[in-house]
Amino acid sequence: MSLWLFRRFIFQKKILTEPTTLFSLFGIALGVAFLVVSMAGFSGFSNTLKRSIIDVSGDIVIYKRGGRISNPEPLVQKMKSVSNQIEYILPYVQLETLIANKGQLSAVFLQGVDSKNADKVLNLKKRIVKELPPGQEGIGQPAHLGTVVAKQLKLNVGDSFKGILPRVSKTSATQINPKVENFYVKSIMDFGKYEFNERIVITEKSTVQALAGIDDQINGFRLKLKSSDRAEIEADKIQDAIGWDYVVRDWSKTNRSLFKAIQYEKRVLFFVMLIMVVAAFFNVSTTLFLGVLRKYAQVSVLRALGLKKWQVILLFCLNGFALGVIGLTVGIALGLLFCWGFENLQKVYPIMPEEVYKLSTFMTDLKFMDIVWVIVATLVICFVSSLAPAFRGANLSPVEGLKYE
Amino acid sequence: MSSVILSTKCVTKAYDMNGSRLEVLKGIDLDIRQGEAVCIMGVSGAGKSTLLHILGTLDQPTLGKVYYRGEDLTRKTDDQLASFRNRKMGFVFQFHHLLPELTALENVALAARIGGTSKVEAEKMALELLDQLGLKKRQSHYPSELSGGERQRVAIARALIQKPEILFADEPSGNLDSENGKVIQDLFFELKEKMGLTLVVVTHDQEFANRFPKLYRLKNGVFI
Repeated sequence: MSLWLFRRFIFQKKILTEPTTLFSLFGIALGVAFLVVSMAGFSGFSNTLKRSIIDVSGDIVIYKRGGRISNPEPLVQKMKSVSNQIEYILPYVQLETLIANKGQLSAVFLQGVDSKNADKVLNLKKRIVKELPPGQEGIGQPAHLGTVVAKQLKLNVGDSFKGILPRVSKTSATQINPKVENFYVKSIMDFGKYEFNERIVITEKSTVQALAGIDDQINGFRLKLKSSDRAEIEADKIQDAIGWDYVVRDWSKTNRSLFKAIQYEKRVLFFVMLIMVVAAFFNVSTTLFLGVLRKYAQVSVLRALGLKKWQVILLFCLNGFALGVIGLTVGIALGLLFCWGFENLQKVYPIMPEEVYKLSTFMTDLKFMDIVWVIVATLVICFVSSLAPAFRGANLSPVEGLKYE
Repeated sequence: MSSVILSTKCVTKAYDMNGSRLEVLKGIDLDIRQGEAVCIMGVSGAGKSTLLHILGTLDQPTLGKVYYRGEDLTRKTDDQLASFRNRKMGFVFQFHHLLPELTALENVALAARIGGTSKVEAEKMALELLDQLGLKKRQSHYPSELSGGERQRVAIARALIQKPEILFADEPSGNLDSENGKVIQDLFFELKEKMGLTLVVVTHDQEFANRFPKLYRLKNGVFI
């Protein structure tokens, strides 16, 4: 009965065209939209950062403290025996070198991986900004450069540059015998993070090993897991199995403080934005109060006909709830639209200084649980803000309402 | 002689007006018997509407008691009184107070639906009543599409749908022209006879009041 009465008596189409209702709805929708955007923004930032780390470094990185690994097989067996989550283990070599082009020098990490198997762990193809067409080659060894280092050295795809490894002479401590290797730019990649783009050059594992003169030795492994979310647990297992001569670092430990900060900031911002929604619901309260006063005579008649106080409370709470649901729906839609707009806008206008935020662009990512929290919080506020007008309506004296037409 | 259905004992109603006490009713004793037609008359401000509201449990007396068949109504909670009104009492006011958003049929069915009757059953009962009052063709009209007399007849039908024992009317013809007013007045007596109602009417219309076998005159909060 209450639902029927609510639909026929309180919540009519014309109520939605009244300016007070429209302003209330606009307020809620805007508050909810900002809440959605902020949640999606933080999740997106965190996710983009996570993806760039995983794409370039794998789910877990393992390397030997102060040395190289010359016999990797027993280690690989140990890792596989303790973790059934491992999909692939990719050995890598890393060398700090200089690269030079037309008088410009830059210090980089020259990383060597087996290009045939790299895709099983890393997701480099997705990160290519520019590459040489298939079949075309330059002079020397193929290399993949980050966007920043390519820009600093004014290198384009197909261009040649030199990799220089300064080595102290075995006969004289003051004499340096640099070892030089020729490379060409096979592709330019956006590794996601500014420091990756500034410092990483990827090439064949054998090339780096030859340049360093380390035969078959490797620095460590990059691991691909079945689920990236289990990286921390699996990293702990592997660490226990292979011992403390090795550093085992999962993606979440890289930039751990930043990930934690994002998590806390997201929570804080949720409550800050929620205050906006609370403020918007003051308008709903006012609209409901107006509705109660406007329908005073009719509510008095309903009371005279036997409608109980709790039924009057229910009628006006339902009204607040309906306004809340409409505001919420419009707000979420508006929020998604803002997210879409933000993603597209940053493609045209870079709005984030990448030196500060480590990322130049990020995708928004609205998580299911975030939406659930937005809905729950908004509906709770909506319910609470409806209570005062609803109780006012129920406690009005029917006698007063019946006096006037 | 039929039994007393509604009675008041020493009912007083007072308001605080900026620190001074205004007594609208001063110790009213009244017995209304089942099937009686009672009229309460008085000039504006005499307290007749206040008395009707107290009799109809829409208002509480400041002092005194109201009894329904010997049961003290002033001890009941708000929700108990709401159910009681729904089952036992019908109200017709000076202004029709129909819900503008509902059709004539829905307005009439309202009390039955509040009382828990299903939509289909309530509307069937409402249609029968509208038919009796000559408004069957107006069932799907909204109050704004009805004349003053028709609205008041719909309001009477709404008051009768739960087959109340007591029908209260506060200046039921006060807002109508004399011709329509007369029609409404006749209708009250006709329905009283047909449905065996106890009728309690408040009016300042002497001609209407004279038609009642029992007439109370209220002046300055007391019967004269």
